[in-house]
Amino acid sequence: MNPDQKKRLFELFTAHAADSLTPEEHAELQETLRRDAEARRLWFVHQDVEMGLHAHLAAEPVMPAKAVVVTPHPSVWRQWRPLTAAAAGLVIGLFSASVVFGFVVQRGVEKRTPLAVFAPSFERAQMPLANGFPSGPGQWSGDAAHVVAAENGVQAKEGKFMLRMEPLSRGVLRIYQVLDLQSLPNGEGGESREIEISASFAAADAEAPVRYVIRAFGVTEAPESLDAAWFHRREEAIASATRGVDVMPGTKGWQTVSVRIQVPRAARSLVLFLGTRTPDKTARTSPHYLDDVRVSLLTPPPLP
Amino acid sequence: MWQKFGSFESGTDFTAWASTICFYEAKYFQRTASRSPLHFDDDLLALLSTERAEDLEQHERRMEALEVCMESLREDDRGLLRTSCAGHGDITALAEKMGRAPRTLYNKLALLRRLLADCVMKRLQEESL
Repeated sequence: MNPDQKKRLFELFTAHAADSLTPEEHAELQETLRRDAEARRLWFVHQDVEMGLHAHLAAEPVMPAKAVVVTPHPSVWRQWRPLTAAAAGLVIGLFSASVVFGFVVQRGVEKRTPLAVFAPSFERAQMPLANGFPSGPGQWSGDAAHVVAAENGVQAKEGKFMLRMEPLSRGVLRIYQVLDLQSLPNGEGGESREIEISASFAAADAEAPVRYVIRAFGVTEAPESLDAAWFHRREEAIASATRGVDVMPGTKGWQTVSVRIQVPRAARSLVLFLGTRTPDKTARTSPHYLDDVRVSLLTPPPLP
Repeated sequence: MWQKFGSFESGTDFTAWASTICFYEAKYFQRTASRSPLHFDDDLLALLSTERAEDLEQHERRMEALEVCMESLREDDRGLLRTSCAGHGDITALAEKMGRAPRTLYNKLALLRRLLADCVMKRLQEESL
């Protein structure tokens, strides 16, 4: 596919996303997708980019003005309308929770109320860590990891212990925890609450580039209802936020990553993903460390 | 879904696999059944859904790559995409609001999508080296 063909293809994709294809353009897009495998691959990339754009941008303020409330709007999935009742049934079942709320909250001196996190500083030296997605709240789970004391020149950021995330050949390590939001105080505010998650990461090998990531999902299901099947449907969450930090080679010490998420009151669980990605295959042999995980409910200052 | 049973790996979580396939099937259906009266025909949908089932393993990595790629956007471009998302894709209405020609806005949004897609693919290619 030459650059002009690719340019044209993305014009068609954009028009398709805006539901403004003319019949001629629709026929052109269909024909191109039908005959060109590369066009189909680009179509899948485009679909993922669209989904990601909505997930990332829907939670951001539309205007930089302060104290402006942006009307909550459905995510792109919610906009798609089914043709038939049967399809609607399927879609409602799968997508009813797919609403991303975007609010602008006036920033000032916020009140931080810490939320209970299980073993936030990994001070339980014998703490078991389940494999895969957690089977409920009150536990850490994920890829291979162990609670350790200082080692490889890395000392715990808080207390005496930290979590060592063992290196994996695929270069991605993840640790999960599910928090129960059902007991959160009602407090003030509108349809959503703002929650901040922070965690600190460190590398045994500071010479390798790494990306540390926190992802948070606001989920309508109760914590005990979440399982590995939910993991594969996680993009249905009613709210999500991601923050990643690229750490350049030679950067030593703890790197703190934080992310804020607007969680609709309908959310009963908050699912946390804490992860690392090591792009350099040759550097996937040394561990990373995690410590000092904090989750706080943010309450905006009262209006004057 | 059963047409894609060949992509299920024995020993893995069948429920998760089935949920994923159904999820994307439904998304495609819903997407093509949106406001536009124009729909992809059944043959093309079948082809897309078959290939998408094989493509799904890239989804998570693309999402993570996109997050990085978005950080490289200029703030006004990011703002345009944000406004476009908030306007549910109605570019004509957005162009009116911004006092710009719809075609200009279409071209700009198409360019931004292409640049993001290129950036995502480039990052994934680099990771696989």
